[in-house]
Amino acid sequence: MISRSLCVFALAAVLLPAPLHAQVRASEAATLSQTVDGTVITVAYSRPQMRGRNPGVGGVFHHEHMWTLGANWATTLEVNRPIRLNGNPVEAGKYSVWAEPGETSWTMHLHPDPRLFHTMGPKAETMTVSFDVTPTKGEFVEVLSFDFPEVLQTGATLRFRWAEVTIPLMIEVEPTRTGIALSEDQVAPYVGSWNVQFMNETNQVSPEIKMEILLANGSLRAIMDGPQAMAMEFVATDEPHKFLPAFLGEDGKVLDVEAATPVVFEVVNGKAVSWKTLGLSAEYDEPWMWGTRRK
Amino acid sequence: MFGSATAVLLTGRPGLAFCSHVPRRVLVGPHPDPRPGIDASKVLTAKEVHDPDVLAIFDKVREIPEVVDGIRCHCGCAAWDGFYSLLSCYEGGGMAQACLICQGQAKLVYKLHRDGWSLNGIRVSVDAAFSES
Repeated sequence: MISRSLCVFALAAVLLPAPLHAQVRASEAATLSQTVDGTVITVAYSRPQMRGRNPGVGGVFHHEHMWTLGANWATTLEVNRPIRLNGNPVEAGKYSVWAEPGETSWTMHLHPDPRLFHTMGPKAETMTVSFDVTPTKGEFVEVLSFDFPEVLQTGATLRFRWAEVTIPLMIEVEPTRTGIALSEDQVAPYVGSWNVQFMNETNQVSPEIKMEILLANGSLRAIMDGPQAMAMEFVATDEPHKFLPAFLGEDGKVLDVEAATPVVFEVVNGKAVSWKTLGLSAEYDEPWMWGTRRK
Repeated sequence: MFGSATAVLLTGRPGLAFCSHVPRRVLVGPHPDPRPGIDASKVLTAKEVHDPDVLAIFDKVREIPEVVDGIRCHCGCAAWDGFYSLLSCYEGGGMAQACLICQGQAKLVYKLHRDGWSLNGIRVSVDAAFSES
């Protein structure tokens, strides 16, 4: 008898579906992330769909109603460094995002509590940041969407779209470069003639290449010789002898900052004798570029 | 006429369009190709250049005219008629006598060339050191 029951139980275990750990949602979750000059901007939201509903006011949008720009748990905006959102200062952190749709303009809000359900619209006076925006009429969008249609060196445009409503939000980031001009005394330990080597695409050590480090327009610049001659800027950090390598475009403007692999100089008696980039991680701790002083 | 108008547009300051005592950096197009057979016969000598420190820079330019002729000058003079390259700044009126940018560029070009740098690398260095960005 016992063995028969066990057999039935075992068979049922095979035939019955496993308990559901995840379920289909009417508004599926999505995450969007964009890095700009070291600032990581992340939007997490649920994506309601129009499903034939009224795209206008009184339909999916309600005037003067505190609404998260999404569904289910409130849409969140997270930044790892301070930003300006439509000109308003926002500290690093994670916020829930709310809006009060109006006739011609909407009031956008960031709330300090990122974990709020969409029915828990907080009072306007509890918001961290509030500002008005003017939505524009755009192409019909079935599924509520955020994207970054424009990414610049100094910021990005975060765009909200649903139905025919489009709201671009302008995000400015804090530049990696401080803008503080270095003096001749400050860069004196590093300027001069160097030999540089790096790991090439096939993980081989390159031949030695000449490098000149000099002061230009208040910044420390390093130029490499050769057919692929190129200029970099060593962006000062808060730590002594530690810089971020930044590649310069032909116009002399910063094109790419390698913030993940700082350059660290070894200084002896006030003069740098070598430098190397720090490894990417504990597992990969080899430098990808290094230099030794020639004179 | 065209050259001076361009220089004024580039600098926005007619009085400073031409290289003067006031350092001024202007980005003006690509680097010129060194002219075949170019030499230093027009580079000013001690007869015209009386400051010994400045004359030393003219002497450096005199050693490597074929290199200096491949460098665009960043002081603004490159847009002027008759100014082909950095070498031009050391010829004729010898305006490099009074221009710290012309002098600085020549010193850097000479140093890098002496160190065995390619013309391409020297150009990138001059741009990195003397462009406005």
